[in-house]
Amino acid sequence: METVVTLTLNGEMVSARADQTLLDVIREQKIDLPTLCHMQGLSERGGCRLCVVEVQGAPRPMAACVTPVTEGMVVRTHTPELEHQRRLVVELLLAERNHVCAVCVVNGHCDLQWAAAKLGVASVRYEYLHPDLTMDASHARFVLDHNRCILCTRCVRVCDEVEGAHTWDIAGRGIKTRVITDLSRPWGDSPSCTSCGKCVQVCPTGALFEKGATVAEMTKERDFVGWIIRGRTKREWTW
Amino acid sequence: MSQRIVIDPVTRIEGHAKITLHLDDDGQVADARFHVTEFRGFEKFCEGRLFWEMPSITARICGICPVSHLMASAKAGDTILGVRIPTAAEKLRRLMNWGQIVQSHALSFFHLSGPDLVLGMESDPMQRNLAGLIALNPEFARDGIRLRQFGQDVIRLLGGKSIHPAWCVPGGVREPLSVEKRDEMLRRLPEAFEIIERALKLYKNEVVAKHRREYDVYGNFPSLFIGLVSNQGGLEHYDGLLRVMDSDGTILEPGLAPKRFREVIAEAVEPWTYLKMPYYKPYGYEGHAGLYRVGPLARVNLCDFAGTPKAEAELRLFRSNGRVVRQGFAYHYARLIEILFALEKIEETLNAPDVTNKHVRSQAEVNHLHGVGVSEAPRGTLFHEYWVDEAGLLQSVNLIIATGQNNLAMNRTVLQIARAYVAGQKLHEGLLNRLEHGIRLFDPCLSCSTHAAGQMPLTVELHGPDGELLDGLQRG
Amino acid sequence: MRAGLLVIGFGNPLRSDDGLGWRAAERLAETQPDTAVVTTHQLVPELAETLSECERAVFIDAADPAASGAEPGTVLVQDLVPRSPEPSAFSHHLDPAGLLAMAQTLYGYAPKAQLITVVGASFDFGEQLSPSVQAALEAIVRQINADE
Repeated sequence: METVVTLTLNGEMVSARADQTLLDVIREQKIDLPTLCHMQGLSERGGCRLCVVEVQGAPRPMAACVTPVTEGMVVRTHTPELEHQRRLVVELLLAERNHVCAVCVVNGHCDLQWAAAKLGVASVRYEYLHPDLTMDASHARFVLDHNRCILCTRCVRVCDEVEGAHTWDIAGRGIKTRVITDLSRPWGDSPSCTSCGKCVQVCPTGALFEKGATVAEMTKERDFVGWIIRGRTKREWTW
Repeated sequence: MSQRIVIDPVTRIEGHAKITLHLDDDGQVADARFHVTEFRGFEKFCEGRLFWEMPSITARICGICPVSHLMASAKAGDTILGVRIPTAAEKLRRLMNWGQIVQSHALSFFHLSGPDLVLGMESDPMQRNLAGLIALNPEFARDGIRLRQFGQDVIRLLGGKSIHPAWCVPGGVREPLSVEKRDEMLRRLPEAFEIIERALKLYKNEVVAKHRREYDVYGNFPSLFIGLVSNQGGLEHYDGLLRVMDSDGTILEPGLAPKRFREVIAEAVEPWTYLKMPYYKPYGYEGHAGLYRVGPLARVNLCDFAGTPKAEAELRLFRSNGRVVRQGFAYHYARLIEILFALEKIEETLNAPDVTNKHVRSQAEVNHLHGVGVSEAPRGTLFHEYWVDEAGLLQSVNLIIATGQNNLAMNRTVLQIARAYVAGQKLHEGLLNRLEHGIRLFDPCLSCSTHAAGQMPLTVELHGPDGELLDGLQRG
Repeated sequence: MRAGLLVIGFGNPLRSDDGLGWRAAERLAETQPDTAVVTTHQLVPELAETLSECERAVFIDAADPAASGAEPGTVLVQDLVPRSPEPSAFSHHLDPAGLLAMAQTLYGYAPKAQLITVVGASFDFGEQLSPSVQAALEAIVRQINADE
């Protein structure tokens, strides 16, 4: 029998299964909480810090995606401090690399752009780093543009956990962190890549896209992983 | 002591034009230079990007005439892919390019040059503006608005929004044309024809008569002309062959494949302007021997025929005093002929059965590491040249824009006007206006961030033989 | 029948705060679907016809801090009357009042109109507004919505 816990969410009493994360419960309650690194069906990373919430008694905000629910928890999701912190995260992401929406393949279909719009980020208070970053267009069908990567690692996880190829990984530390393919050889030379395109579909920005796509032309199937997992585990293929 | 008049230019405008006039010991104008103090790093910052992105990046070089860059960039991309784009896609690109010719030329003739042409170059500056023009000839002003709208609507109906950043892509275009949109354009055409015919009548009956001296002085010099002609030698704006002709009508190069343009065009740089100075390579830069002109006048001079009935009749009138017209003032007439031609071609193309075909995009990989795209922008021939690696990443980019190619000719025009109209050591408003009109004949597009219609912040300086500043005039 | 409110936002959206007009106009289009919205790099003659077809017009633009002498983020609101361009600006420069004059003369009607300018801080390459200009944008949008 499943253990059920009760917690207080924005002043309302709600119940949840003990094996759920806070983010699951928050989404079940139809509370709108932005995320970038989270993707249904993939393991959690807790890296983007957009889903931070206030948990009574905790010394600092907690990422809801990696926080299990516990009995008697008191959680608030939209305090001014939290909203401030989320905006700050998005501003830092925008300042860190070269995000030029006007010429981007996913302009209008981008998770980062949506998050910025939803949080009311219209200006960035930090100096743009303008790093000199490259693109890897060596793959026959897909392109990687480091300028637009936010290091959410959805590509790394979907490749490892769903496709099983583990072509993608992370190299470097801090500001020098980059996603890489097969020990940092050009993507086109990767022997492990199956060219399945899952990484491209889960990428929240224009960092991974289909070759030949032009501005605002690339849309991504956001429920892509969900379909595969449902098919694989429940034998349901109603897309 | 010279009086110095300064009117501050609008500071927000980045591009900035300055004319310096240099007097010799006898007080005659010895030299005149048209400077552009604007810097753009577009070619540099495109390096490392994919060539597929170039239409949308380069379309942003200019918020006013992005269509021309869309064309040249997509065509350069076609050559990298090595594809022949679907017939319908080529028709649609041509339609958009003609829409651009109509709207851009309409602005130049009716609204930018209109006040000078209808009211007179030295008429009261209080009246010599759009408002004065409107008061005197409201129908003319309304006509300009309607015609420009037609051109804009052609672009909008094809590309969505007024200017879609990437409707034109390597391999073709993104959207086919619906029957409804085609019919909408056709419905609007008769009015556009009426307007251009009224404008031609006004030009021939009134404007020329009123500007006899200007016609003789403004940009009236021998020069080469360069531009595209169709494979058959007809008037052309989208594709075809590069032709070079001198002002005696001698054809130096009948039809060069555009990708070989470097055989005829080289670029020089001067320390006093950011605008590069292209010249006809076989004649060299020395003494500006390789000076050539591009744009409406060049195109209308270069072609053997127009190829549409109404424009053909006008072309014969245009050439009634000789095969080649060298007077810069005739740029105005050439623009009107090109509008008429574009309207006829739009009509012909919209009535072609395959214009609404759904197949409008060819798919291919990178097949060539070098690509050249050439098209005729309203202002003249536009070259996009890209070098890519096997993956399609840009290694180098070179853009040769129309205004740059007219640079030497604009300098010559300014000198000519200054020699005819400068008297003594003082500048006056009428002269400033004449110089500006001389430059405006070429309809230059100097900056990508100017803010107001036709506004060109302009400084004119008059220097003595030892370089001392005698007088200055500025307008924002 | 004339449309109600027309909002014309002008400037260069790739030049930081010069994009204020565009951003404000786009925001108004979202919050008030009935509002007719035009975004443009420059004021062009054909807007005279569009103007003659609305009841009320609001122009939104960014201003140069050096020229205006005011702090970035300062909002200036002017009621406009149709007026021919100043003789000193005798080049072929179109301003909002001049466009209204065109609408009046050419189409026999000019709407009631306002010009809202916000003093900008940065006009460098970029798609972002400075914080003070962003705050001003919010205020403008609230004000225009309240006026409706």
